[in-house]
Amino acid sequence: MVDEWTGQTNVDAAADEAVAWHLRLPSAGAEEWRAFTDWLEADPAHGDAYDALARADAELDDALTPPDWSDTVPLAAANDDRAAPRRRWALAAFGGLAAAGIGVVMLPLETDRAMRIVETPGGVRRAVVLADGSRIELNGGTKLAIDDGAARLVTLERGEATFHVTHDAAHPFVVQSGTMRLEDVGTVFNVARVGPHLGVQVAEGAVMFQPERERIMLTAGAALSHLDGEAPRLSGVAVGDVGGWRNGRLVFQRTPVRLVAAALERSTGVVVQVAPGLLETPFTGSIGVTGGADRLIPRAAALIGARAEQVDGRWRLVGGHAGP
Amino acid sequence: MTLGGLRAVFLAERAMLLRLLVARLGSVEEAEDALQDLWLKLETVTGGPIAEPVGYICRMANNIAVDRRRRAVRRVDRDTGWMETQSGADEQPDAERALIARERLARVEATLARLPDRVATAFRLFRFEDLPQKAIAERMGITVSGVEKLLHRAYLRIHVQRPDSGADVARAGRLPHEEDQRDGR
Repeated sequence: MVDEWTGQTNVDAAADEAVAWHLRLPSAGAEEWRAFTDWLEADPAHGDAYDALARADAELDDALTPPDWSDTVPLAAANDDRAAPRRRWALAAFGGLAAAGIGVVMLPLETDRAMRIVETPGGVRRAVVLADGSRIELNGGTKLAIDDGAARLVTLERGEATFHVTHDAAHPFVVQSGTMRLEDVGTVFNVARVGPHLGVQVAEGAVMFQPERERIMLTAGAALSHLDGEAPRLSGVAVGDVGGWRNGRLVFQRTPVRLVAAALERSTGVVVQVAPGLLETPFTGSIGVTGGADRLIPRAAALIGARAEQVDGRWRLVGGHAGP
Repeated sequence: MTLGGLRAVFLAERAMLLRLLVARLGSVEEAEDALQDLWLKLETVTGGPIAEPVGYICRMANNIAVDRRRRAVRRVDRDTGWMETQSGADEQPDAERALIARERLARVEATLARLPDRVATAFRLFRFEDLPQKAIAERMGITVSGVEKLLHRAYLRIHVQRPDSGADVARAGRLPHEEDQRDGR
């Protein structure tokens, strides 16, 4: 086959047919699978070509869903059967476009370019690569609206994401969350939204908080915490801890327990409530997100100095030995 | 579809599934093992109607075959020496693979950057956002077969015409051991 961009003719027929099969199989029915098996059996070169292609394509899954996440991925997303659940979920996100109009009214749709809504259920992480090469890693329980047109605008509606932004001074990358805006200055940073709370941590480069108003420049190692209606609070963070959830490690510095619980929810997909007396208690430390929620939540509770109770499949953190 | 329903489909199609797995794995013995995996895997299928149960089970079987083949190739890589010098090789692959995967993604991005926009867009929607070809067709305002043509070009360039088919496997450092820590107490 002649490649129309380079004129190369180096693709052999088996590889070319393997690609055609690979693209057809996700929607194939019984007859097509039979025909595929016939094709595999017809010539060992067919099997080799398809095998190489399928393995190469599966390698990409490792990049999109790193293997160390598998512990926290619920059964429905287990990779052996990825075609069905992941596609269903993508469909749901696509079908959500119409409904999402309510959530993203602040974003002008001046072109025919559709806003992409990317959403993760609790406990399921994924990465999205934008047209400009910028990469966003989404924690579980996260919803993003992406407009990768000229504006490069991403709205974090809820949850947490780490942004690896390809800097382009002519087209600033803007992250909006609630009424707050962040503008990148070439950077890697993590943003988390839990109800009225917005947390920003910078690992590389710099990001501008509220470029039209406060204009607070956050550089590597800076952390900002903002509660709707209040002034932002600045603190520091170890650069290596930014977006630690991506490596299964949650790091907190004087973080109220309600935000720790939200982080545990995002990682496990399990609801974690907090007793009122414990909500604002600050926690400093790190929690390794390993094993199932049944082991993780009690372990996390012990670190916080609380106890974990399980009622009707929900976890609740209550005061430890000394009471709330 | 209930577990019972899927199992009935499995039993009815067992001969064909075995043929598929033998063709994919190259040995009857390994195909039988994979078939056993598949039978157990049926239990993990969670709710929701399955429009095309035979296609669904074939896809599961093929995914199992892909996983097995990947593991087999990794074993061969180890046996032929490139990881021999590293202790704890059993714990290594995840860190190693994560790094390789990130590199791979960067190379895919570089390849996409050199392809026509429509080809790259179709590939991104299909592979990174998991949209079915039908949804991509609607999104891009073209026919499903048009999408398939774009994807075909992208796949050839990305997976078949790779100039560097995995020969330059990079070494990953071991990830820091992740443990609970409690500060200030």
